[in-house]
Amino acid sequence: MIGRQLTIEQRNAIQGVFFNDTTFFSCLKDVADNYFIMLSDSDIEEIQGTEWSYLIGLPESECILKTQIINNAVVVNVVDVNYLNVTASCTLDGVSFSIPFFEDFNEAKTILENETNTTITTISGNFEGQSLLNINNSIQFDCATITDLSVYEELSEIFACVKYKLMNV
Amino acid sequence: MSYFSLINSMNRILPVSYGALTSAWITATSESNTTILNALNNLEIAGNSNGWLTKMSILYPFVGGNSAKHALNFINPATYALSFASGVTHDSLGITGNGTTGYADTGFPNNTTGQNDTSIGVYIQIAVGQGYFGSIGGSSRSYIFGLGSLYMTVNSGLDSIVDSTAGFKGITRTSSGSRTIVNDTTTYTASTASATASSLNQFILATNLTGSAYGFTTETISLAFQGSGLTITELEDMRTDVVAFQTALSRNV
Repeated sequence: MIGRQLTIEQRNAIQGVFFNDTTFFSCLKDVADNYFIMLSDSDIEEIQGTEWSYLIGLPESECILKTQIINNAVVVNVVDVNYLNVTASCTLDGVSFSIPFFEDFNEAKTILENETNTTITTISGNFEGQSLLNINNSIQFDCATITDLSVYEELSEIFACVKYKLMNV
Repeated sequence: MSYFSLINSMNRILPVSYGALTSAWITATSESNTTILNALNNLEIAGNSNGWLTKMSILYPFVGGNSAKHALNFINPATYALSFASGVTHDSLGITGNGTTGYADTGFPNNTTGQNDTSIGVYIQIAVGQGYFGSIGGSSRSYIFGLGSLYMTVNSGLDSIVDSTAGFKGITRTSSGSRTIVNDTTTYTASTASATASSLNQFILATNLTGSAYGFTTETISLAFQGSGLTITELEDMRTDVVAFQTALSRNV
């Protein structure tokens, strides 16, 4: 995608700042830790002639978002497996986080397979608070060992957590 | 011809009378486009007649224009004005995200409406997927999220999946044990227990995931709403009325 690259100083000067009564600047960081601002045509119209009009003149360049970084083992633990209260607690490179979310299981599975260039085949661990997955250049998962649809859903939520964190580390 | 006959033969131009909400909208926006005003007024009349309008807390009609106009809440322009992140395009179809940074914060906490007394919905142009409306807080979700299929849930944990199409998407809950979805022309009702409503602000063009925007979409959204719980009939009537509104603005899909 194409965006306007910012210096750190430029980013810090505009991030979260409203350029009219209703709209604030929201910057993002690419895979190389460069900051970018994505301006819509509506934004450009609004900042014409304002103190922020210099942003329009910044050169546009390719912005590649962080998608995934898998270097070391990622351990995902299920701390609460309850149909109505699914929470996944994960550890990624020593950083703990907990984000509940739900996505389609097959989508999550495909994403993980594509991103890690592996095939999800067998599962290890269990669903009672023990270590569930070990991602260390491979992912192990076996749908045939799971009979409860809700478990699929819980797993998809965990995969989504991992994906989300990988995209934002 | 007498003066009386002459005057009597002239076409009468009656003063246009708009409903209270449309009148307030005119005051807030200085809108003069009669196509837009008539569409809003007819939506107001139909909504009052069918009983759903008075149950709305927020309703953003995105009638075309700039961010200032699109930010306003038709139910009460003085409350819950949207804040847009840069990257949103405003045009006659509504608001369009860029898939990376653009979204709108309603400022409306999801738990403003009751755990078992709430309704949410959108009218979408394309059905491209990702977050259209809502929030995810703890174990409770109130969102409309496209990912292959369309996930629609209100104050629930995991909830039903329906086909992904453009058009009207609305969901209502009036009890702890079930909710009803109106997805375009199809109505679904199923048992799905409610969970405590989160206090997160509802987002549009993304999902508020525990305080941060997530699932940015490139969708074009032509209307979004949240209110107290609607009956199935009210939600279906709302669908009909919203479709008529979009048709009047030449953007029905």
